[in-house]
Amino acid sequence: MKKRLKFLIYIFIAAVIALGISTPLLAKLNFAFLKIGAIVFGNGYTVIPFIQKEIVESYKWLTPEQFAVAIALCQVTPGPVIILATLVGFIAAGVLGALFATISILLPSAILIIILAKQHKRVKNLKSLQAFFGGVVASVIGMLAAIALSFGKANLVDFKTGALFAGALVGLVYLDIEPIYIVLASCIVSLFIF
Amino acid sequence: MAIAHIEEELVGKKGVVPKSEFKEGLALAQIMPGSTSTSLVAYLGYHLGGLAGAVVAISAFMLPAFIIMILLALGYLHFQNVSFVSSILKGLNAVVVALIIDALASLAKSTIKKKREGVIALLAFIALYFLKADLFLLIFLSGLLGLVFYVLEERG
Repeated sequence: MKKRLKFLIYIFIAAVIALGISTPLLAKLNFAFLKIGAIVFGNGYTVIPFIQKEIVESYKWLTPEQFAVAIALCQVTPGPVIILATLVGFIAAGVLGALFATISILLPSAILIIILAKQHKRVKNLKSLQAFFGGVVASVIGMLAAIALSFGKANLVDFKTGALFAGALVGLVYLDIEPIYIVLASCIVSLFIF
Repeated sequence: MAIAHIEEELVGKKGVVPKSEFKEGLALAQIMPGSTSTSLVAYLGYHLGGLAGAVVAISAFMLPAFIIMILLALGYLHFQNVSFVSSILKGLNAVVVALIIDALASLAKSTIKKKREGVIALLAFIALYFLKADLFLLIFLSGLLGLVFYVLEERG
């Protein structure tokens, strides 16, 4: 019985993989998000530079404007920022694209943690791994700063956009208001000023 | 927030996961690649029901956000050219700069504990903004640099 179940699971996995590479678009989408899935850390903000570079600049599945909207929508959605993959997949290739992009971004870390769950008591040298990933996350801070700067140059073009940005920043960083409320409030303000 | 919820549900109310197991899973999820909450869910799912448990746990955890995101995306694609929506989008383009700065500020608060992390962040900024370096190479070199700093510190 158990053997049969295992066999069925393998067949299912093979079918999913076959579907995932059935069109060039899906295959590219999966490849891109498997790569990005390997560099997700913490709350998932680390994916933003990679989505900007790979998805917006190289593959052009999202326009820069859509990317900005995507980041805002992530704040309205519960859960980690990797849900960006769902949106990108959906815009690029419909519901199937959304499903595969989501699976692909989750897969690398899920596989890794399951392997380690089995034997992490044997993984003694976590300290050096921690140092390595600490360096990775630190570099993402610099990358996010680079993106914020180029976004700011492109999007903050007049007094109104500048004022909206300043208001949002004060609310987020100094008053510690949840991003979702900032996004909702800015939607209402935008209706009146633009 | 999600992590506190998970602990409350699985360790507190239902008591299906021992506290020590939860702590080990969390420690691992924080160190390894992957969003902390989804990695933790995969770990606990695996602990409770093997591979199938991990798949079920992670699918169930992601499903609400997945559905909400698809609905939002449908709404966005459908209405993006309506005039009042395009004014909202114009505003969001400005607010997103603040969102990114907020993200990097909270990431910096939890990550930059010593000078070395600040140095790596600064180098990455320069490499990306001015030199347009390849991101994956940059990630790898930054990790290596983190490791080198750690080894140097250990040696004193």
